[in-house]
Amino acid sequence: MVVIGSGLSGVVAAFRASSQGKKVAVVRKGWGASALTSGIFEIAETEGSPTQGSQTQGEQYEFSSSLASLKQKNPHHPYHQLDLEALPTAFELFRKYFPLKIQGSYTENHLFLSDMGFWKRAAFAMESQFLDFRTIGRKKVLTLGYDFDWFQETPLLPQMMAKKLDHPDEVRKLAQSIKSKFQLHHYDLLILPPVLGLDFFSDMKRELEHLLGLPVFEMAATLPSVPGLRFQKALDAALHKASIPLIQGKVKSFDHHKKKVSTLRISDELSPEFNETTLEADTFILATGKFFSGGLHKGPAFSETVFQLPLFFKNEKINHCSVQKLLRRDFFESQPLFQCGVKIDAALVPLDEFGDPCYENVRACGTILQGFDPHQDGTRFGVQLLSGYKAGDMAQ
Amino acid sequence: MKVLKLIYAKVNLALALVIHFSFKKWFRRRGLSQFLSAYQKDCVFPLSTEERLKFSSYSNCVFCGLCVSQCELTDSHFYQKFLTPANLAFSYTKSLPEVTSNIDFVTHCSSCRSCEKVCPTSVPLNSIIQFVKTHAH
Ligand SMILES: Cc1cc2nc3c(=O)[nH]c(=O)nc-3n(C[C@H](O)[C@H](O)[C@H](O)COP(=O)(O)OP(=O)(O)OC[C@H]3O[C@@H](n4cnc5c(N)ncnc54)[C@H](O)[C@@H]3O)c2cc1C
Ligand code: SF4
Ligand code: SF4
Repeated sequence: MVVIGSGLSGVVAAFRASSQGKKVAVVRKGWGASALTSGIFEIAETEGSPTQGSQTQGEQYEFSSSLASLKQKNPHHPYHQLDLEALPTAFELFRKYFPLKIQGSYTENHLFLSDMGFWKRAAFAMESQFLDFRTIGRKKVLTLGYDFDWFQETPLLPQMMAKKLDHPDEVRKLAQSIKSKFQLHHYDLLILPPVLGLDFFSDMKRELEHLLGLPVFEMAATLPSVPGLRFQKALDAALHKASIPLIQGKVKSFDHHKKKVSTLRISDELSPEFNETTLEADTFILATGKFFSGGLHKGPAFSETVFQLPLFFKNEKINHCSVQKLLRRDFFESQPLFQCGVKIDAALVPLDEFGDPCYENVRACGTILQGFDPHQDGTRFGVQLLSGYKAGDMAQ
Repeated sequence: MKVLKLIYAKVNLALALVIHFSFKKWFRRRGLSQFLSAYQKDCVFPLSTEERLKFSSYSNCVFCGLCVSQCELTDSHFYQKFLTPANLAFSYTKSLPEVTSNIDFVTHCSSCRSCEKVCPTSVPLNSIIQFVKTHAH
C-alpha cells in the first residue's frame, strides 16, 4: 500500500494499515498544512459558541447534540461516511507511535486562549498548551503576549524565537526579564505565546517553571505556528518509529488499467541527480491536503494534482468554476473555496459526477475531502483522524 | 499638405534607418555598458536563458516559515544575521532582490537541502542559493 502525503491523515492511515500487517510506504513532496496547526485539535463545535469569539454565558461544551445537528445541517460532511464511535480506538493507535503528549476528552470541548487574544474551543490540545480557562476559578493568571519586552527586543519570526529558546541561557534571560517586571508571588499561573523551544520545548518549559516557581503554559498558535512545526516533526519521528519508509518526491503521473491504478511515477525534481522512480501497490491512499499542501491546485482550472479527480462543492462539479463564485466577501465567513474537494462513497473511494467510482483501489482521506471547512466548522481533527484510520482499514 | 507630410515622414524614417545602421555597433556597446553600470548598484544584471527559465519558480514562496525550523544556520548564526531560508526565498517574490545583501547567509549555507525538502510550494531553495552565489560580488 502507498500513502501519498505525510500529514496527520496520511500518517494515521499508514499506522492503521501497518498495524494490520500490511506493507506500507509513505511518499511526500514536502510538509503540508499539518505543520501549521495551532496545537489545539477540534472534533466538533459546540452550540452557541463559534470557534473564534468572546466568551458568553450559558454556552455548551459537550458536543454530542451539536454533532447530530451538524450532520443534519450539512448533508455533505465527511462525518456521514465515518464512524464517530471509532474515535478513541483511532486516537489510541495514533498515540502509540506519536512522541508528543496530547490531552483532552472525547465528549466535550475546553476553552483555550490563542496568541491573538481569541478564545478557542477544542477537545484536545498539546500538553504544553492545555490550560482550560473554564477550570481556572479564582486563580490569577499572568498573561504575556508578543508585546512583552523580551519578545519585543528579539524581533524575530516565532520559529526563530523558539530556536533561540532551545538554549537554556536564553530561557534564563527570559525568566530574568519576567521576574524584574512582575511580582510573581501575586500570580498562580503563567501563560506565554507558543515559542518556548522547538526541539527541546518540554525541557525548556520545565526549566522556566523551575526558575519562576510557577506552572507555565503556552497559548494556541496562529500563523506562523511553532506547535505546528513540533507536530509535523513528531509525525515524521512517529513514522520512523513505526518503521514505515518515507519517500521524498512528488507524484508526477500514474498508470491505470481501466479503473485500477497500478503504478505511481515519482520524481524529486529539485534534486541534482534527477531520477524517476516507480511505485507499485495494491491500494493507494490520497492524503494530499488542499491548496496549501499542493493536493489541490488552481491553474487555468481547479485540479486535483495526483489523479486529476473531479472536485466538488455540495455535489456540484467545480473544476471549471471561476474563483469569484467560490468566495464570499466577508473574510470570517465560511468560504466555499475551502470546502470544495474530492467526493467519496462510504468506502472512501473517490466518485465522479455520476456517482461512479473513479479508481476502485484509491482511498481519499484528510483535508482533501469535500463538504467541510477545515478553517471554520471545527471538525478538522476528527475528520483527519477518522478518515485516515478508515482509509488504512479499507485497504485491501 | 497630406502628400508633403507623407514625404517628410518617409525621409525621416530613411534617415533614422541610415543612422541606425551606420552607428549601430558603436551605440549598442556604449548603451549596454552604460545600462549595466547604471543598474549595477540596483542589482539589475543580465540573466542567462537557463536562469530565466528557473526564475519564475523562485517566486513561489508563501512565507509559511516551515523551512526555518530545518536550517542549522538559523540556529548557530542567529545572533549575527537574522536571515533564514524563508526570508531569502520570500525576497524573490517581490522584484529582483539585492543579491549582495544575502551573501553572508549563502556563504555559510552548506547546501544540505533540508530546507527544500519540507517546502510545501516546492521553492527551489538550493537553486536560489547557487544563483546568489554566482551573482553576488
Ligand atoms: C493556516 C492553518 C491553520 C490550521 N490550524 C489548525 C488547528 O489549529 N488545529 C487543527 O486541528 N488543524 C488545523 N489546521 C488544519 C490541519 O492542520 C490540516 O488541515 C491537517 O493537518 C491536514 O492534514 P492532511 O493529512 O489532510 O494533509 P496535509 O498535512 O496538508 O498533508 C498533505 C501532504 O501531501 C503531500 N503532497 C501533496 N501533493 C503531493 C504530490 N503531488 N506528491 C507527493 N506528495 C504530495 C504534501 O507534501 C504533504 O505532506 C490548520 C490548517 C491551516 C492551513
Ligand atoms: S521557501 Fe517554502 S518553506 Fe520556506 S517560507 Fe517559503 S514557502 Fe515556506
Ligand atoms: S541548504 Fe542552506 S539554507 Fe537550506 S537548510 Fe541547508 S544550510 Fe540552511
